[in-house]
Amino acid sequence: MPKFMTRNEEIILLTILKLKGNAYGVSIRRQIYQDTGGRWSFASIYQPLDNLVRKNYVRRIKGDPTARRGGKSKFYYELTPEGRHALLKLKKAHERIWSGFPEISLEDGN
Amino acid sequence: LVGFSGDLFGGWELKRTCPAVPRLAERILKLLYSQDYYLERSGDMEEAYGELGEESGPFRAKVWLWFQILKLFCGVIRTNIIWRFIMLKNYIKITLRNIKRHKTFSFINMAGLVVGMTCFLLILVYVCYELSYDSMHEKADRIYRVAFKHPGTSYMGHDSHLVTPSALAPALMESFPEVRKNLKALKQSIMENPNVLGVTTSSSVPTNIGSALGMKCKSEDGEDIEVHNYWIGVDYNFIDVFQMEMVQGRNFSKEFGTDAEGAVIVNESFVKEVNWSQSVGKKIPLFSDREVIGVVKDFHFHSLHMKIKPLTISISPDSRYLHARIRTENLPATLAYLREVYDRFKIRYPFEYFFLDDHFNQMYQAELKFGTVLITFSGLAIFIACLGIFGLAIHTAERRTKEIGIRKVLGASIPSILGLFYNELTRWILIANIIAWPVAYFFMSQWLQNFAYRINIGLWIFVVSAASAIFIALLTVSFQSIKAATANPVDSLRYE
Repeated sequence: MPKFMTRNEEIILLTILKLKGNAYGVSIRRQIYQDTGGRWSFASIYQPLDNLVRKNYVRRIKGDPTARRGGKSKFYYELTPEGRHALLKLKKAHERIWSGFPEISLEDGN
Repeated sequence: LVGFSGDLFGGWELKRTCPAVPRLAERILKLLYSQDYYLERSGDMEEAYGELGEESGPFRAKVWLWFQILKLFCGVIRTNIIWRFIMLKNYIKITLRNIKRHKTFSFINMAGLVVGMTCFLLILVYVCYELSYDSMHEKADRIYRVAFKHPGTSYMGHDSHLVTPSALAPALMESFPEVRKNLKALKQSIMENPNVLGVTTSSSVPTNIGSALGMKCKSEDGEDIEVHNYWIGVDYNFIDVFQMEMVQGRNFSKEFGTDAEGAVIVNESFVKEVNWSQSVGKKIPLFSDREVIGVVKDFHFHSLHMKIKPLTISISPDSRYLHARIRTENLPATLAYLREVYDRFKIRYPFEYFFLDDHFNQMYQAELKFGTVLITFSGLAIFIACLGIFGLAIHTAERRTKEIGIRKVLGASIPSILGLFYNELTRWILIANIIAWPVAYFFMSQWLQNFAYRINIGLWIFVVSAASAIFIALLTVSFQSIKAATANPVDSLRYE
């Protein structure tokens, strides 16, 4: 049985994909806030990020330092082919699982 | 494919619009992460902190920052613990795999461990049980034993001479007059047997003289010297029968009428104690004033734990022991004869006898027992150590199978491969010896402190122990290494 990534990992992976090369800690957090309305702590972003790096779904790339960061480098995240593949598999699985429910039956509450 | 946010390096020198992250927070982050990750995370933190500071004021930003750091901290700790567990699981897996692969080695080592543990537990249980002796009494600490004890006669912590009051002796003599009356006749009857070389009596056994007393003697300068000495009452021929050597003066003799009441023989230690140059003719206050008529060569009248103490010997009619010096041939017949003579005199006490050497040996029971226990457990320890060495040899041989195969293919001879094994082993044994010597020396010398007379721990003991360790180890290893060295290299190269 293939192992799926967690929901948090999935959200972060999709956010990285959405940010198209401008994905680093602060921007990922901001994007998640815009999309979900939740203010995630940095800890709950770094944890899945580290996991994704370990699973080789995501690559870390060192950027340049900026003034706003007190002269510290940014680290950008970027999807690897494995990451894209895993995301695709997950999406297909999602679609199959969700298929067959008319939206009305959920909104009714029973 | 990297996009930049446009805020490039050159800009940050101009001004810092936002307050910097507190030092302490930076330091915590530095502790939590390695250099690379620290850069990223503290940078992100600083950026978000600055933004929030502009939005909702520095105080809110600070509170937010500290919460973030707390959460990061918890996260890092949790991940670390999880990784520890995963590593542990891996280690166990590797260990199990190794145990499976080196079955003989594991078996021998584990067997050694089990034997050692079992012995340890047995000894522990044994000692605990022994220590629990008497503690079944609810108030064990209130139980006492009442006895008379001579001063200065205990050694090794044993009260070896618990006695009845001295007034009992004359009373007993009155009650049992035949003891004294029959003594002479008894001696003569015993002497009739050709296997009996001599018969004498004494107040105590000369291997364990218990009666001690203190007296004031005059030194040659006229000073008073308090001498703590032991006393034994004997028969006239006591010194002859026990074949003791006179150093000065003469033995007791019936020709001198005064010997029974006024003469005493002392031992060399006594002379040393009072520092006399010429002892014959000196007076000492033993019961009454007595004249020293001779000096007997020092002999051990206690166990070797004690130094030889000053001793006084005088004629005494009060004899509890009758000693017979007998030939070793035809021992049972002689003993039967002694019993028969004894019974003929109808003494009320039953016939009891012991050999003096047995009596002497009894004093070393503790050492003998200790020796047996020690030998047993040393044997066991050596056995376990041998198992360990054997296991090591098997392990080494297994590990180096391929190496040995290659060496043989390249033309190494069997002796050279054996030498390889032996060299390594010998080196380790020598190192182990160097570590073990001081420890052994320390404990041995501590134990030997118990004895007044003791051997020196010579260098040869260590040399012999090292040599025997090497010998045993090589013997243990030989089997395995010869097997490995003589194996066909084709097999070993195909190994695994």
